[in-house]
Amino acid sequence: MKKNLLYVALLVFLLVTGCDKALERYPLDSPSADTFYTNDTEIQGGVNACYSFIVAGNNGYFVPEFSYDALAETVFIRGGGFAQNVMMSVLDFKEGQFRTFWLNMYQGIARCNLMLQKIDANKAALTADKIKQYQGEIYFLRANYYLRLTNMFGDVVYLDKPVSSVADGKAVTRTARAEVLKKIYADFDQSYALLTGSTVKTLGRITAGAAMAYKARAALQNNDWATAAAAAKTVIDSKQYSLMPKYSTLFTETILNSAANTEQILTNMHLYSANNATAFPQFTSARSVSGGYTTIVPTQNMMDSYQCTDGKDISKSPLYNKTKPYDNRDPRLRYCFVVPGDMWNGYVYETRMDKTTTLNDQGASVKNLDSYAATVYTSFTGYLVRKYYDFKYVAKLTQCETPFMLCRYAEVLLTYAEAKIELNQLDADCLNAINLVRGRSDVNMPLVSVALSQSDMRNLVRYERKIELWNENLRWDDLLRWKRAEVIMTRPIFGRPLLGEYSVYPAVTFDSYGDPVYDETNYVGSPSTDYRVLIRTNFNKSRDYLWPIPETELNLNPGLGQNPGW
Amino acid sequence: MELFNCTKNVKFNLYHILTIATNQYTVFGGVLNPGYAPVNYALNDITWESTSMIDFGTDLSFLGGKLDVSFDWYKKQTDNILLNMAIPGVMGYANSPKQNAGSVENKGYDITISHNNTIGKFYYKVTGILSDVKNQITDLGGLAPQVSGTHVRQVGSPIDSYYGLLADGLFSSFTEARAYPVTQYGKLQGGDIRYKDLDADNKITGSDRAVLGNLIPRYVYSLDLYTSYKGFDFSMFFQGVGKRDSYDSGWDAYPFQNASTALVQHLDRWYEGNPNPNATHPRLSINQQSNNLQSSSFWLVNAAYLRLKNIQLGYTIPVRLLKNTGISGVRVYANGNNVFTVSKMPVGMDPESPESTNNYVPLLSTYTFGVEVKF
Repeated sequence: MKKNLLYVALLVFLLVTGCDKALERYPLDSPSADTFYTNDTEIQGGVNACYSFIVAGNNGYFVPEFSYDALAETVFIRGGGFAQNVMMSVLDFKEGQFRTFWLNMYQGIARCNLMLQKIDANKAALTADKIKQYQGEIYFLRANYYLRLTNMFGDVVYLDKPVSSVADGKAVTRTARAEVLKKIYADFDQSYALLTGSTVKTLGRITAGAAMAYKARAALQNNDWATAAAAAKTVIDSKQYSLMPKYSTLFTETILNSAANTEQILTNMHLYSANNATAFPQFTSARSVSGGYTTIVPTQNMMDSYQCTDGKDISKSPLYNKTKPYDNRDPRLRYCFVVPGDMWNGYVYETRMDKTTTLNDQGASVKNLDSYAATVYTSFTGYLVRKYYDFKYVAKLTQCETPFMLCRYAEVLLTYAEAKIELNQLDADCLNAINLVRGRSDVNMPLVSVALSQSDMRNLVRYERKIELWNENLRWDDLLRWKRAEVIMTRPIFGRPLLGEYSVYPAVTFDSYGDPVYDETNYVGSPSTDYRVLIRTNFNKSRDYLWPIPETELNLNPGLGQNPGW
Repeated sequence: MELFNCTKNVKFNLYHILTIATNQYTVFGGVLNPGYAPVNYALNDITWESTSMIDFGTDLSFLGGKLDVSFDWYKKQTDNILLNMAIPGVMGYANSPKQNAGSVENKGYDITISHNNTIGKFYYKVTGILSDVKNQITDLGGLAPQVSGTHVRQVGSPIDSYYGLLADGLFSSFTEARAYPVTQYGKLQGGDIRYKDLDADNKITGSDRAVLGNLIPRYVYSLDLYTSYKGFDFSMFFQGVGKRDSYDSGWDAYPFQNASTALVQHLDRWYEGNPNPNATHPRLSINQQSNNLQSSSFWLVNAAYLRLKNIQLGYTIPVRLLKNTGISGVRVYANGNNVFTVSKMPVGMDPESPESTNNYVPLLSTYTFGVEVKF
């Protein structure tokens, strides 16, 4: 009895004394921000997490990594409500996706700012090399996030320190885009300086070359030609990069995963076991692939944009044959698209409604699973994406580990050429940059030996950006900065006709910038043979060059102000 | 005493502290790399909600227990109510952390009346219940209305009220639509929804939204009947809601979306042969019709209903007939569940289901016949 009393007394004592601080502790199941990031392992992990938003995030069908171009006329997403609503100019500030982008970018920025602060506070725990490496990566990422933000929203809130309270978060104001651009340049320059000489070359990590290439991109996207030309020249002169000999194999895993890929400047890698595989094959697979959605497809507008091998558009080239429309075209067409008649997934690919049977790879006639008669969900345009597509994933469509290049040397060459053209410096360096891209061994488009007029050169480099960089997430920003969106985004987006032969369709014409023009009355008239109108676009030029400040943000902080017209 | 004090000291920051997520992986060189980042912002100065309540209640019994009446009226004021509220995006978090967002008032009553009686061999019991609650946000700490999709939180309205544009019928013709001086969403045609331009700026935008209704049920009632006569017993249970709104969306509302199908309610749509400005559905379209998909009163549906939830008729065989059989009781019965519903909900939506479950399997009616045998 005495013993029991003792135990009871002890228990009470423990409970009572244990009480005071017991509930004031930090949770034990996950680390707390206050006590974390004090050693190299933790800081390294913090820097890694700054990469999380390098692709703007998965918004349902609108997955910017491989279809940001679907905002433009070159790629179409079936069921991509947000992209289509942008194209029709029917959204207003209450659309939630605008905030998703805003949040993604600011999450990236906040992580960068936090890690810069933590690195400063824990310098003693890191070697000098590590400090340089980490800071170099972070400065790049922060600049990249601000670049994306300014492209979407114009003037944005610029922060280089963590925001510590909700009250502070509500008190911020926007900084002029031009001022933010200076900070972006400064960050890329710092990144370049810190990473120059770094021995870290792991695929996916930021390098000095990437920092300078992105600085060139940032300058180009802001029509700052001199800065763009200088930054691109630095990359070219570094001799770190060169074009791969073949476009046709450049977007295959063999090349993408290889250290011998001299063209990649920044690559985004995916790993199923890291829970960040993509569903790219699911969106792009033919309907004959079990589970394939065929939602992301190339458009007819893009198809018609590929010149013939003589460098002339299909309205002018004698090489264009309406009955064999895919022959004699810029070879990049066939490297990027699957076209009717191609052997694909073991079948001769064809979507036409009247082609209910097709041949398989054994030469036998079988049911055509890609025919519109078999499924209304077959490619709305009649074409499929070949670029980056890998049959390795047909049985695991959402487990794709194909790396995507976020920046490659061809872009830098074209940036350099465009900047030089806009500066009217049509010299040998400028021609050489374009010729390298056009002269790739399996592209082999006519070279430019003597400079054309500035406007012809401009059209040429714009053609190259559209064709060479198709579906690499640059088209939409190009249309905005060229102020071409107000023209191109008022033309309908077409798919291939459901029935009939090309030869019965009216000839396409081209505007003075080399983009196809469709007078709708010529292309839409008789339902059985019409070009298929996928979407009637619209663009409000006094509003749509910028996106609205998201409603929730404005409600929390009216001081942000709204963009014009929204 | 000490222990009690300790409990009182439990602060939310124990559970609402900014923690580091360790799953922010990245891949470099084909290899998984760990990534650590704070992902869920938490306010560590939040406190408990506090509630004050006034309740008048009475239970009365009359006629020697044959009539029972109970009545409650209450007013409940909850302050420092904890809601997930958005924080500025520039802080770098995508979550909406719990905050002491303001005050909410709930006013309501419950009435139960029950009567039972025996007249010879006839017994009956009737129970009716009626209850109502009126919910209202009375304070939101000075915050602007918090809009989330079709819902809003704002002072003066019930929590998460429906919020959207006010529909003003359909355009009855192409000419009328194109002549409409107010800019809506995209190019308009006959059969598109017309919206009220509340701020009179000749433009329909988010600024023209208003509170449309809410999904908190009002006037919830039920009626339970039970009678027995000799071996027979009979019961019915009705339930219903007098006033509630719901919102129609998805395949149920929009036919042929992304090549989906059409439902019977889509027959009453605007088309040239039926240019009815009050049709229940706008014109058909295989494309996304942004104008007609806006959150608006057009898609609000009346979710009031009356349902015969259960009905049962039984007969118990007199015990004397079971003598020497070894069986102590036999009852045969017929039972029906969800026998009928009076409601204005479109096909595919059930008034008892939560919002946005209108693509689910509909509620089933079941009929059972049975024999209960007791040994």
